[in-house]
Amino acid sequence: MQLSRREIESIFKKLRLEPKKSTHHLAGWLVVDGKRILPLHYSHSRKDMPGNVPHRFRKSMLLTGPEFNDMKACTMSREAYIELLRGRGLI
Amino acid sequence: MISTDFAPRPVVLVVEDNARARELRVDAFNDGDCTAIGVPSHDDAVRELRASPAVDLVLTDIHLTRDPGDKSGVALARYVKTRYASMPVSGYSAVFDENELRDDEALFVDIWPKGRLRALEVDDMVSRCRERAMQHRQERRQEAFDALSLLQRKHELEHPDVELMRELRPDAGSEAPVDEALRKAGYRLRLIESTENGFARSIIVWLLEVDGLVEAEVYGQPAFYADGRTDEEAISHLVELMRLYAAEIGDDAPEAAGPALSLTEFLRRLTGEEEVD
Repeated sequence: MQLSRREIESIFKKLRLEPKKSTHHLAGWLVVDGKRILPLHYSHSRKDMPGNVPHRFRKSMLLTGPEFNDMKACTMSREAYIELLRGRGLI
Repeated sequence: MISTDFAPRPVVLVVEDNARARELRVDAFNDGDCTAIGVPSHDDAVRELRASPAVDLVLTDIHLTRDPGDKSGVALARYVKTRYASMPVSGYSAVFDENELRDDEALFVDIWPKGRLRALEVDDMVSRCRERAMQHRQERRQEAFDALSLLQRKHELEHPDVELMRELRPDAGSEAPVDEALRKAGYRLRLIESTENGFARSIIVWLLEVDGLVEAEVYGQPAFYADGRTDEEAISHLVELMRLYAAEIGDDAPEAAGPALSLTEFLRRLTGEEEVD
């Protein structure tokens, strides 16, 4: 699985995360209805995510491969994602 | 996908190229008190196994593509046996009969050849896989406990680090048990003492070299991971990341819910804000 920084940035923007920056990472919590749900982060110093990092990022979003593809391809909105997590009893 | 709650449900990796059949199997396992991850191919299964130390059993279709004679499920079972020696693999096939699978039987703990996988037998398959997965998990937990006792002795912790052991005790429900298969797969455990990491408590991390980089993941907390060119750099990035997350859970921060509950609790214990029972 390929995952670029630009794709992650787009996901962060779509999910309205407000990440904080360290020397290596941008990290933030997905907040839904005023509650923190998931932590998400990525390395801001890389153009493409190496090794298992794309899979780790997908898993940290609690998405299957096809769902994550939808998220990357912008066919899954923030609302649809939240609904999916809600359907799984995670919210 | 693995849930970040640590309920003691065994994790089953379901490998099936037919999307509808995969969905049915995944649902059957989820209804059968397991957590199921569905993937469509040999390569996806390998990736999932490399990224998920938590899988307890692999259930694979033996005929994973439309190519006649394809036995990529057997190839997958061979890979699992090579890299994760103790992990049970179960297989089924609507294409190959008993005679055609005879030479491959030793790779599987259970096998359902052509003609034996009827709807009525799916419940039996789920039940047997669950039993095998639970047994494997218990064995890994015992190994984990033994390995951690060794770790504790190695680091000459005269006074047991209660929090450390609580995190790693098999009955604490960790999703990342230590076992021989993981070590064979290249995972290494490293204890980052509180004096090193700057937190109130020690952290245990998994280290794995992938494509010339080292990936570090907090033991039992797969959402916290980082990478670097060396062990030290990966750990340094991970600790810095933990600090970033921890800074976000102050009193005036939004309340946690769902998966964030256990992660926030972990961070609070790490920073010393929450006392150990």
